[in-house]
Amino acid sequence: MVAVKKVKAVNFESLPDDIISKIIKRLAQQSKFQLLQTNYKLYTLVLPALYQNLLFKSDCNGFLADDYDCCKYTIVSGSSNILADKRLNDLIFKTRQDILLQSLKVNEEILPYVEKVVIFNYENVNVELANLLQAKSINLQTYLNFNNNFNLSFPNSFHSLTTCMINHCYELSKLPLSVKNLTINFQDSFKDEIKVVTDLAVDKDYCLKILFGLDSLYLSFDELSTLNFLKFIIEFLKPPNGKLFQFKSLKFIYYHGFNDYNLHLRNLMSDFLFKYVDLSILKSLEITMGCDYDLNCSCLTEFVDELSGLTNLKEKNSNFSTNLKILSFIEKTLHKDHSFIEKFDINLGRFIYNLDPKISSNLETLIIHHNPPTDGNIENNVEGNFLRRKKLYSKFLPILQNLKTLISPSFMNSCSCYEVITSELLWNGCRCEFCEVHLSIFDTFIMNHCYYDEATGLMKDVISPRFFSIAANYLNQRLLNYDNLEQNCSNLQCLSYPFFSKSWDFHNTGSKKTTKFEHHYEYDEDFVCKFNQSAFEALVKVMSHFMEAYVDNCVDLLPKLKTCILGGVFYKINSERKIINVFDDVGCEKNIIGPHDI
Amino acid sequence: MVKRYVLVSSDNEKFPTERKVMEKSILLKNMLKDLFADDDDEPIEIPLPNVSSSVMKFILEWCEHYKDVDFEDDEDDDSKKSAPIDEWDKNFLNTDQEMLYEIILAANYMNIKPLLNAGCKMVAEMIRGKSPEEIRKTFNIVNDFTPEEEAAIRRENEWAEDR
Repeated sequence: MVAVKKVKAVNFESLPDDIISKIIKRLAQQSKFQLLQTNYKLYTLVLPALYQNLLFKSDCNGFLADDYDCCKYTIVSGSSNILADKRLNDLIFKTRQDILLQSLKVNEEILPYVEKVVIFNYENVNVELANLLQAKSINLQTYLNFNNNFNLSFPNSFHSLTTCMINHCYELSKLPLSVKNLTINFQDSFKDEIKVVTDLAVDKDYCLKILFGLDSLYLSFDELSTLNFLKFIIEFLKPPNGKLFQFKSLKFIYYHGFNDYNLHLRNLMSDFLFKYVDLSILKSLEITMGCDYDLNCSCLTEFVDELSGLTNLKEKNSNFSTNLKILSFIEKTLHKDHSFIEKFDINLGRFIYNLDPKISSNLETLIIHHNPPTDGNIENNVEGNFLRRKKLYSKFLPILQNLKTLISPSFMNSCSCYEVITSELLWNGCRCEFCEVHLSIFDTFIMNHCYYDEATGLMKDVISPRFFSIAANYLNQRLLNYDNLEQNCSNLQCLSYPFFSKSWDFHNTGSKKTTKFEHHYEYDEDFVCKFNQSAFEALVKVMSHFMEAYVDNCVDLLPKLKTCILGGVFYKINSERKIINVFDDVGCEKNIIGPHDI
Repeated sequence: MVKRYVLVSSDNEKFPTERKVMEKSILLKNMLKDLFADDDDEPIEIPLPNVSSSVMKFILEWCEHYKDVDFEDDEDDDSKKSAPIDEWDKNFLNTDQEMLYEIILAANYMNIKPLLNAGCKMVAEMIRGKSPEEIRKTFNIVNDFTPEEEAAIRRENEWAEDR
């Protein structure tokens, strides 16, 4: 007989602390901020969650949605008002950092709550704050500072640090042995590194111990940095023969440049991969690849054949295994030409096609990141070429029968390079009520605007490829790493971060002022163009309807697909195989037609 | 199906239950695995002194609904944690605050992570978009800050404020 227990009435405050902490972990930043002001007990419980994962990013308006994904981070950003310009965003970003610095200096007991710091800014980073976080957050697990002007200096007491990036080879010897994930971020700061490490008498055994203990290594997107790091490993550290690096995640670059200048890099890269890395351990792999040397050059084909296991020219020590779940490709091509982009596509497809079927059918995530020019202006951009690329993908995607996630961060940009496609989108695209109304408004905008074309030195009319390319560039920046390849952020991590809020003022086309979209003032000198950031949401919606037709195709080709991210638009596929446009739709009835349905 | 297992609530009410339903609770699943053999035909009573009969009804209804769904056991699965609350769960947990907390506590005690997760999300939803005063009102929280302390706390954390 069990004694009857009298149950006390419970209220929110009487819940055990660990349950309240679980609830707090599911709160977005603003809710955490409001809750900590309610009373002392809740203040003490909210504080660790608020300071646990700090993300610094000034060029966004906070997170895109107040959803559960953003609960993991506290963002230090510009204004959440989409109408705020860069000056105001920078000012607010600076002020936020100043207040945070003061808070941490006054309450040093907060610093142990900090576990993750990601600084994703080139400029305006508060040096004192970054250094304080780096030096005194004793429970720091991740410290990624994409601004390469900082030097690493972790105290020896940082036993929790698992993820960081280095700006110099010699910094490897300063890392604690707990580091498991390393990103190489040399670039400009990386000059004559081998001489420096020799002069500093860097402990080779310690560096090798760190490298052999790594779970992931992300090599720089920058060729010179990667070249020097590989030289550092292979020629300076000289790993023992037969002992392979056991990376679970690897990012590397294989690029054939103009004039064949980087032969040494390609050779070192092949040696590193095939002689020093145990490929069978890899779970995720990101390859930045491209060939600008000559359209007929077969270097990429030879490389992907070797990598996929089709050929064995360099006596590989190991091959991929079914451990491989995530594949990511980044196109590096400087030629603004469809033919060179297609060459990347062909070799990507060839790699997947030639993988052991046991491996390819086991892949769960595929990320394909093209790098079309920001203005969408490429050679050979006829419709047939676009359709050929589409056909190519429809040939090899069905091999990936277990693929659950497909991400193409630059998909809209790629489509925007083909005028016939963007014209179809504008004039014959989605027929829903929303698009019917808004597409004609955007068409009017395009008709009324011109821009300075640097290539010809002429003012030219804005045309649909220019318009949608520039819009897509802003849309893509919802993903953390888009358009920041030089910052060495890997696409493999892109789903670790929430989507960011990013908008476009319809006039600024990027970094150069000369390429602003300007109104045709000669028609009406008094006209004031009223397009600004507030219209961007509608533009994103029509672009998301356009891309949904492609998601539909992918759902047909990939039976297990659950998540598809095209550009900055997030689609979920539910158990009934219905596509859900997570952020950019309010349930419009769509009637999408166009060449993409051919 | 013969229900050989009987859960006994804190107020001694008995709930004959299928094994499959019970096993949504990791606590009960482990208990069954460790203590009771499959071929034992004797009815087994399992006392749950921390769960009242009214809460038990809710818990068993939830377990019955999800008895054919396999939840992954991974506690740190961020994708599960960050997924929006399921529509059925939302309706199911749309009860008074006290019962919601009782369900959360029982889910925690019985180790039913998906239900605990859903309950926590429900409470988080109730906090979302509210000012400190509105939160106090919703949850009967007593403000134990002086006005100066409250202002200082707001000031030191306003770097995180949405503005």
